[in-house]
Amino acid sequence: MNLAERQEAMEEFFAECDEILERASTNLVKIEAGDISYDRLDELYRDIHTFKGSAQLFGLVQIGQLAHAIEATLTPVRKFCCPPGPALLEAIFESIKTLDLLLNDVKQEIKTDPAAIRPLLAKLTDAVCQRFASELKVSRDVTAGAELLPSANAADKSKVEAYVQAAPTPAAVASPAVTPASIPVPVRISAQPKAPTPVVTLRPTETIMKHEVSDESSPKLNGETDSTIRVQVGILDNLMNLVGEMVLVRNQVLQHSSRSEDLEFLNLSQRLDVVTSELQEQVMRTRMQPIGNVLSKFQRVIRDLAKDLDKRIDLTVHGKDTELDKTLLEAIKDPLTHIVRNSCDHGVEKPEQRVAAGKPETGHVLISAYHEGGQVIVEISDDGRGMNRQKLVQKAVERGLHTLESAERLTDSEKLNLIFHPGFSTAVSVSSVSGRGVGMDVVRTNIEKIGGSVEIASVDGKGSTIRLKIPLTLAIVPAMLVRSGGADYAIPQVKLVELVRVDQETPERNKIHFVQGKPVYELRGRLLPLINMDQVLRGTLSTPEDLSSVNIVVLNADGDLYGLIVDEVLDTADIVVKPLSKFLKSLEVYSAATILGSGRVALIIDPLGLAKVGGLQLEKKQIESDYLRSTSSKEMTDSQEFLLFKTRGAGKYSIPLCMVSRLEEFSVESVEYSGSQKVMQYRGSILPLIDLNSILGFGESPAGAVALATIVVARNSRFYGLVVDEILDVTDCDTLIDDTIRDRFGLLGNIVLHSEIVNVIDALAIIDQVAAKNGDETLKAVIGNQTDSTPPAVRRVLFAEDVAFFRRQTAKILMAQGYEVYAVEDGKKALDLLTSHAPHYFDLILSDIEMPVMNGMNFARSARQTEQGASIPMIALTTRFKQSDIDEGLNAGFNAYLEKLNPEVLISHVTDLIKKQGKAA
Amino acid sequence: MSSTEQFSTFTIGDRLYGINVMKVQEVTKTMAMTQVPLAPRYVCGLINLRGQIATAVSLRELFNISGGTPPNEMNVVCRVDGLLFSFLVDDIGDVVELETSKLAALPATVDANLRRYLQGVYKHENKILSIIDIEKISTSINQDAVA
Repeated sequence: MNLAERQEAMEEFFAECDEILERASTNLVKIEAGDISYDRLDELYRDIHTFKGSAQLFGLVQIGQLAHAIEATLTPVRKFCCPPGPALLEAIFESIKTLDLLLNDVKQEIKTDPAAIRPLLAKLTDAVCQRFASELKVSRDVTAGAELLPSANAADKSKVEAYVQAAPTPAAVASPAVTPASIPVPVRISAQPKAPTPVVTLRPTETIMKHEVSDESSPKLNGETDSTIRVQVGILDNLMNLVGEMVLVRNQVLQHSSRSEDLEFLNLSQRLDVVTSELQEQVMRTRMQPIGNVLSKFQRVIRDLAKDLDKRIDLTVHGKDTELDKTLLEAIKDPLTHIVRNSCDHGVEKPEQRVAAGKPETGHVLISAYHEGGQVIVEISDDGRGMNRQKLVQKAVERGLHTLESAERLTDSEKLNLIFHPGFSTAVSVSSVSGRGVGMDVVRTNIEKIGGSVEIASVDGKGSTIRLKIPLTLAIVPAMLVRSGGADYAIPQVKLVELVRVDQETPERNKIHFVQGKPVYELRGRLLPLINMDQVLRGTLSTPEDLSSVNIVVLNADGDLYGLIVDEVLDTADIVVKPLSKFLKSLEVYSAATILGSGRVALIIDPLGLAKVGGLQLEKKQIESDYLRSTSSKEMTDSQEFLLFKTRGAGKYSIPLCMVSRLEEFSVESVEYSGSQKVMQYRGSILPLIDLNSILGFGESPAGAVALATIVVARNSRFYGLVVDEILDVTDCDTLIDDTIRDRFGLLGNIVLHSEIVNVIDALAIIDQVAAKNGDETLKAVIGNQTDSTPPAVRRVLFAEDVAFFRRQTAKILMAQGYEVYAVEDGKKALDLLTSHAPHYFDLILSDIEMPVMNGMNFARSARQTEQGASIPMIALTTRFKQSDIDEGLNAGFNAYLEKLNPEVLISHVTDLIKKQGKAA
Repeated sequence: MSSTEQFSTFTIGDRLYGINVMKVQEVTKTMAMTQVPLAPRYVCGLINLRGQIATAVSLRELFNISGGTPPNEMNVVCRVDGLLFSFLVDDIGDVVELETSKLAALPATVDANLRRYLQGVYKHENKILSIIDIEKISTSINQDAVA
């Protein structure tokens, strides 16, 4: 083997070793957690065996020795298929860590002291002797009495001894001669209180022998190796580039063929198109690797960290299979490690602090990876102490990043983003784990280098979430081609929100306004700043008349939207990203360039940079993490849709869209009267019409109107029509309803929509008032019922509902009655919460039916199967009111089936059921 | 025996310039260009060079040489730091081989702006050949952009 070949072989060996060690640690962590099966132990054993073999092949004596020792200790473990016990596990963990270190030394060609591993070898031997001395003794005792497998036992014992002695431990170490017999048995047993009964764990000798035979006869230990080959990344890179070129040629051919009349040529070019696309996809896939490859090593990282820091930390990983380009995967490895270490060090508190804060002793770190909008999102969340804004600001002032005054004015997200400043660390003391000044700034730089972004969200005392957004691949992106000033530009699809065409003829043209001379476009109620691409790039001036007929590309610049006026919207295309010279990138407007089908070069626009250069003042939106949202039940702020409408009162009014059944426009002539109440014949029944203007005290609606804009709301399985002046729009709002200002009856509070305050009406209160006036009997009965219910002592209600608005409102209603409400977003979470508490912890369960993850029916069925949920009163809250639904609900285990947001009925049922429950108990 | 270097020569107006031949990837005639709005004046645009993108830089603009550009400018394509530059020049001359020891320092009268792009001058066949340092061009325009 010449030097180059050896080098290549070594590199392959290192890659394989890394894989093996990672798999082995994952398996070990699972075994430690109690997940023990023969297959797992067997895989671990085989991995170490392979490792040993490869190491010896390359003459790495020390590594070979250590691997052999681990293998030897694993032999009895695998044979008995029993837990290795903490001491032995610890020794194995330490050995694997050492193997990793030794490998690194070899990689960097550092000579190590061959005697360094001796203590470790001794530790392994000791641990295995102690562990299995007791195991054998116990098993002998038990089996002797039961007269079970006596021969197998004797054989096993001698085998253990043989294996342990066979480990190539240096003589000096082996000298204490720890033989199983010499250890007093009672001590062992008390030291291993968790040792399972051997009768269960022992396997017939025969099967074990079979396993061994098959192992030895097939040197190919891992079946997977047959179907994969290792390829140099360089070759894949070249392949990728070539495919990129091929895509360009394909595009050119297609463009040419579109002008051709030659059918044969058209056919061929179409086939070329299909094959090229396929080829491109497959080549991309060769470079894709599951993110689990990187994430799996964190099991060990966290375990080691927790030990170093004297904390208890659990790691959960979601979305291991999410695939990512290899280069990107490499690039996020270090930032991820850094963030995870931060979470453990700064985030998760020590057990005693956690208990004092009312949290479980064991901290939790969650890493989840998933695809979203052509990007891969990796979220690292912890339920630790979160980030203290006060401390951050104080630090920033100390460091001179801000003056006291400027720090005052920072928004919440700006405060959090302070941690991205170089040399910023709030750890009080510098530990070996983090707080060394190389911090989040490096993380951000590295992530941004690969076209990603880092977002951060934190609730003080509850935990933090760091979200990495990473592009799927760097090379090829889908883009929209636009023309401006005679030149073509590409805009990455991920930044594109929508396209709007404003024409002379369409009503859209009325939606362009000027605010202080700057054009804005009214997009579904929000004002979108407009910039003219040609004006920004070439300084041409546009007059208001030019805006009568334009194409607007709505772009997303890091969470902020704006409209870009272009001359023409051309087409979408997959473009191959080519780098630009640094000095051109520093113009900020372009992120890269590409070559179009025509062979011409086109610049790729960076929407954020273009907005900056175009003079837009964009404020970064605050990011809310899903994880945090779910952990803090009181401050849930989901995005919520509102229907905006106008009344005669000033400003805009709105109603949560989830309460609206239909929107109708009735002609004035069809209005009839029932007594003094305006009504309509509507879908076979009578629809009472409620004039919002008169309810809200703005006087009667003007008589001249021909059509009545009506919002139809369902209540007590009846419909009511709310008549408004004009229905405007539906819009998203992610703020809470602020109920501090309610100057009149019928208002629920206000929301802030694009810095405009919008009134939210309390449709249900309005309807109830009208219904009461009209003598609605059902409602009266309910109210009567409610008054004689005694207020409960503090009772705990578990409440599952996916729509934030309903969740908040219902929780509010219940809390006003003195209930303690535990609100979650789906059945699965509710079930988890239920089963994580003692029986009778909760007094009542309320559940929506339609929910993601686990719906209400399944939740009810599952809950009834649990000890905690067997007898608890359960109420379904729903909008589905068919008899079949009700029957199904009752069958699933619900005690009652109620309509959403009907506080009186809800409260009467809740108190009723809880009272009954109290009597039964 | 003294060492020699080969230079690819070209003219801009009446001036003669040279770039070390090893650094020149190719010389091409005028190609279709995509303009880069907001870029410095000397950036003429981007060129598609068989799937690679080259930034076209007008040396006439960069060196502040007065006079109009001829209709058919030539591209001298060089690779610097993995990226392609295409320097636009008036006309291409011969490749000349010169003794490195004959390289003279720039006269003190040469403008500082120009100075930073040049290595020195040769006297060649009664003409003055100024040697361009393309790495210096790359670094200084990148620095200018950042500043």
